[in-house]
Amino acid sequence: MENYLLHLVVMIGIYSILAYSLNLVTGFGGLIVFCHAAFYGIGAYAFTLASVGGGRLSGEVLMAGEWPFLGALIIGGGIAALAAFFIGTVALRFRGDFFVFATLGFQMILFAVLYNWTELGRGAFGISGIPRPDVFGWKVKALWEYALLVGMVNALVLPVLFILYRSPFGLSLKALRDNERAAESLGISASRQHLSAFVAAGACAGLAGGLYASYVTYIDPTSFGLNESIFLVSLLLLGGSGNRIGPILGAAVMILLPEALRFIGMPSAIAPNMREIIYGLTLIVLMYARPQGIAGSYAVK
Amino acid sequence: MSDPILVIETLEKHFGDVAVLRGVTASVERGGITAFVGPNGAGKTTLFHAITGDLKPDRGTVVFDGRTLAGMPPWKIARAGIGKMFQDVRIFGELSILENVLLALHDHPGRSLPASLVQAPWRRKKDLMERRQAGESLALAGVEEPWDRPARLLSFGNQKLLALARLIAGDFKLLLLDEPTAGVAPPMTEKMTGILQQLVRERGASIALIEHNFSFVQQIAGHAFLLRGGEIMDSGPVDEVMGKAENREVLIGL
Repeated sequence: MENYLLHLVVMIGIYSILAYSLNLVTGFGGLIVFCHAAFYGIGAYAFTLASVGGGRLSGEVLMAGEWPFLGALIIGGGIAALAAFFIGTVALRFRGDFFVFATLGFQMILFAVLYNWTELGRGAFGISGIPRPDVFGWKVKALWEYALLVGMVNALVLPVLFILYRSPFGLSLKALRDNERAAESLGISASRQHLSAFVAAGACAGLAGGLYASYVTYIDPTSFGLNESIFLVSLLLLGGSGNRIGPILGAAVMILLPEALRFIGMPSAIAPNMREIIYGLTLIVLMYARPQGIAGSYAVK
Repeated sequence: MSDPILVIETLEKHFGDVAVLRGVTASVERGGITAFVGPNGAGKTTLFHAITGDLKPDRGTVVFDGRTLAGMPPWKIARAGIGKMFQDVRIFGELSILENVLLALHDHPGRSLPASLVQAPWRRKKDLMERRQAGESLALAGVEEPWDRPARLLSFGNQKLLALARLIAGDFKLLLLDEPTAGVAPPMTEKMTGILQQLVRERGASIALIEHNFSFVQQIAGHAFLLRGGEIMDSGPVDEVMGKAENREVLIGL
């Protein structure tokens, strides 16, 4: 039971990074993004390939390094940021719905690449045997140690995001969200500010991906598909965006909700379907009753 | 007019087959107030949009303070020093009144993502200073407190005053005002006249405005351009342009 709770803490910790970073783009910038899981996946794969080298997998993947945990984590974040830069440069040429579709398209492309480019990451077989974190000699093994590690990464990443939320940068994002042309008439460049937010969010998602890979020690493309991106957007819309409370609320609710279903004794055969139905219903009710989410300060249009 | 701050030459703009601007040539006096008058549909707002980059002109040039603006995006033109009050005001309704003005105060390098992170340790002190400055602009423009309300709660006239406060805070060299007094109560119009004259006198700002309120125009402007059907019909000192019988006919249909 204790392990089970710690597992939930670790998962909420990983999703909190994903939610708070998506919040910068969606809650402050007002852009709905359906490719956050792609950056999460790029981070996870980059982290994995940077750290699984030297073992039995060396011959089976295109390239593999033997970086220590922190180095690989930074590589994961960096490559996700780079990907966000290129995707953002292309997608941000579009406005409104077209932007949303561009991110959706990129999400699907990334999934197809991970799934079919078997030389890169073994496709559907996935990569197992990802080494557990070793932070300057601290060998993270037990669940409580993972919870601590994830908590520490949160403690490093979230303050940075919080600073951005309330900085002149964050205010300019809110202005663009509110009225883009008025913001530009004050000298604010929509493309630059949105791209910066996109890259920062991509980098954070990449870090979360690395953490996830080192925690489950096995990754395959299905964890980073469109479903996951939709899950992340729903999570943020449910919790509420544009402030510091909504994202963590959304992460907690969306992760604990299915667990609650398990406890009321729903047969495991229908539980996953029931979960989807409940997510869907929750979102529909939310859109009618409370478009800004449980604790949001901005209703996504 | 010697050494104008803004020179517009043979500006043309078509929407499909309709020519809205047919080779407009005009200029805005440095350190003065220039009015653009004319009946509805004369192309005045389109002219302003073409200056600020909100619309791309088909032909012609706009030179601001020696710099050619044609082809620049609106945010670059704003950074060059042109501030604008839109006809439909365009305040940030979901942001607070104070935040609306802070956005005009923040310097452009400082609001980039890296600078916002690096400068975070000094932010608190700077925040206080900026809030005070924003408060001064709001007080000058006559926007009532409390300023932490969402700006959408303000009436249309007060939103205009907020837009004015934003322009005061932005320290622009040239202000383009699209019907600043429309929807504003007469006492506020008088106050606005005072503020605009003060900006010109004390800060050396230049102003171009579109206006249908002729007594306001005659009181405040030095120079006037009369537009009709996308062309400049007449220009000169404001009393001269507004005084001619044939011009009054165009303007008020008498």
